[in-house]
Amino acid sequence: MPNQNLQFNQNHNFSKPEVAFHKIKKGLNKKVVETISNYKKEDSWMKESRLKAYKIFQEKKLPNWGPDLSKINFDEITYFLKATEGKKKSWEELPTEIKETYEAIGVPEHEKKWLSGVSAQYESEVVYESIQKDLEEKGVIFCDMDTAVKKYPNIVKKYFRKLIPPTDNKFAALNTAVWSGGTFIYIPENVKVELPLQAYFRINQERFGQFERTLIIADKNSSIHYIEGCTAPTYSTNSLHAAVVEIFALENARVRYTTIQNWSNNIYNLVTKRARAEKKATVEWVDCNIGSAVTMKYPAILLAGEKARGELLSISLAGENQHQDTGGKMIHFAPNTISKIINKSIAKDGGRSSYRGLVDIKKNAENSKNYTQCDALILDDISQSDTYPKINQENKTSIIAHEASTEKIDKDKIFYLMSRGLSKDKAQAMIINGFFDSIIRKIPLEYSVELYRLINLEMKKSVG
Amino acid sequence: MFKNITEDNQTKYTIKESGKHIFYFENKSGEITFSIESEKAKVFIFGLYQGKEKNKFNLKTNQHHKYPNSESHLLIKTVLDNESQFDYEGKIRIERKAQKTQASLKNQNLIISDNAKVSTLPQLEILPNEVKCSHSATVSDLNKAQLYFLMSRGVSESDAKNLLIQGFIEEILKVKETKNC
Repeated sequence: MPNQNLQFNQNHNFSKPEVAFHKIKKGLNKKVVETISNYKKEDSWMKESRLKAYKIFQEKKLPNWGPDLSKINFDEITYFLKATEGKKKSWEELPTEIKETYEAIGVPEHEKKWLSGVSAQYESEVVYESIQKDLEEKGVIFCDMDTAVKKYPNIVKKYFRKLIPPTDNKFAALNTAVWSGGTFIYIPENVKVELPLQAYFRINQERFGQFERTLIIADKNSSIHYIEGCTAPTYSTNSLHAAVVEIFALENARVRYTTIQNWSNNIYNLVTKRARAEKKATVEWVDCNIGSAVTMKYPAILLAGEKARGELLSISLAGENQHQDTGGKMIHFAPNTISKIINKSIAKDGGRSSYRGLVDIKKNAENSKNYTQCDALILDDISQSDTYPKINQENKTSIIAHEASTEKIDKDKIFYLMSRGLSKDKAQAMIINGFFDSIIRKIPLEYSVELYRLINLEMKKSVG
Repeated sequence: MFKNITEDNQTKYTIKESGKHIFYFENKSGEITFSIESEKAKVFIFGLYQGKEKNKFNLKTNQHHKYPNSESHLLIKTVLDNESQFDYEGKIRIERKAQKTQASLKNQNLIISDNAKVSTLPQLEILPNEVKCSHSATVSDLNKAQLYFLMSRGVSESDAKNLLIQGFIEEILKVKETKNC
C-alpha cells in the first residue's frame, strides 16, 4: 500500500481549466438570486423561497463561537455557474475536460464495479447521471435537485426546508437563497437499495462557492446508503462551500449517509446536515473530514418516533492551517430512543481539531439512551485539540454517558512495532489507522482503501 | 492540604506549591477557577450537590494548567430530587507550556425525580501533546437491578433507594470526613 501513496498524491492535485458556459458576476444581491431562479425556469414558489431566504441571510449574523469566519468575503464569491449545457446520459457524452478530471479520481472504475447510479456534480450542476434499470423499476427516484423541483414538485414541496429552515443559521439561509445542484432521492415503501448510491462533488473554479442542496426521503420499511465523496483541486483564494442536507427516515426505514470530505486547504466548508427518524427508523451518519481550511459541521438526528435509533461516526484530521470543528447532535423527542456518537480526531502540524456536540433528551423521551465517545490524538506540540460536548436531560428514566480522552501516541506501541522491524513512519501510520479502524470499516471497500491511503499520505507529510 | 470552600466568596484559587491540594464544596453556585501555577502539584476537587424542591444550582469550573508535570482531578456528583436543576459548565485548559499534565473531569448525575433536570458541558482545550486528559459525564436514575436485588433481600423500597444514594455519594463524603483522598 505505501508504494501507491505517491501516485495517489498526484491523482489528487489536479486542476483543470474552466469550462464554464454560464457565469454570473461576483457578489450577491437580490438580482443575482432572481437571475438564478429565472435561469433555472423555476416556479414562483421556489423563487419566493429563495428571495425570503436571501433576506434572512442578510439579517443573520455570523456565529459568535467556533472558528474565525471573518475572512470570508461574500462579495468575492460567484454564486452560480453552469458547467455544461444540460445533462449527458452516458459517460462518452461528457466533455473531455470533465472526463479527465473524473478519471483522475477513478469514477469509471467505481462505476463498473460498485455503483448502482452515479450523479456526478461538476461545478454547480449535475452533468452526468445514470441509474441502473432495476432501480427505476423499483420506483426509486435518484436525480439532481433541480430536476426534482420540476418533475416531482409535490414531494419536494412537502419536505424541502422542513427540517432546516433558512432561519436556522446564516449559511442555511445562504444555501436556500442560491442553492444549485445537489441530490434528490426518494425510496418508495418496502424498497431496499442494496448498493450504495453516490455523487461526486467538485469545485473547480477560483472563488466559486458551491451550494448544493440534498434531500433524501426513505419511505416506510425502505433502506438506502448514500455516499458523498469530495476531492477538490488546490487553489489559492478562499472559497466557500455551504451545503444543506435534509434526510427523512419514515417508519422503520434505514438511512446511512457517508461523507468523505477532502476539500483543498483553502475552502471554508460550512455545512448543515439534519435527519429526522420516525418510529423504529434508523439513521447513521458516517462523516470523514480530512481537507478544507475550516470545517464546521454537526450532523444532527432528531429522534422523533418511538424506538428510533441514531448513530454518528466521525473522523477528523486537522493538519497545517486547518481547523476541523466537527461533531454532532442527537435530540431525543420520543420514548425508547437510542443514539450513539463516536468521534475520533487527530491534530498535527499546528492544526486544531474540535469536537462540538449536543445530546438533548427531552422530558417525553423516556427510557432513552445515549453513549458518546470522543478520542483525540495530538501528534506534536504545536497543535490543539478541544472537546465541547453539551448534555441536557429532562427525565429520570434515560441514561447518558459521555467519555472523552486526549493523548499522544503511546511510545511503547511504537517501540513494539519497531522491534518487529517496522520503520517509525510505518509504525505510526499503522497505529493511526488502527485508531480510525472501527469507523473506516463502516465505509464500502473502495472508499476505505482510498481513505487508508489518504491517511498514510497525510501521516507521511507529518513524520517525514 | 484540605480546604472546604463551600462558604468562600473567592472565585479564583491559585496553586503555587507542589504537593497535594484538596478542595471540597457542597451545593455551591457560581464560577470557580483553579489556576495551577506550580510544577508537581496534585489538585483534587470534589463537589457534592443534593437538590430538593426547586433548588437551582449553576456551577462553572475551570482547571487551568500553566506549568508542566502537574495533575488536577475534578469529581462532581449530584443527586437531584423534586424539581431541582443542575446546570454545569466545566473546562480543562492546558497551555502549551504545561507538558506532561494529567487532568480529568468527571460529572455524575443521579436524577431521582421525574421533574429534575440536568445540563452539563464538560470541555477540554488542550495545546501540548504529552498530556493525559479525560472527561466524562453521566446522567441516570438509580440502577434498577441493584434496587431489585436489595428489595429481594427484604429491604423496603425507600430504604433501598437511600442505600444506593448513600453508596453513590460516599466517595465524596469520605473526603469530607477524612479530609484526605
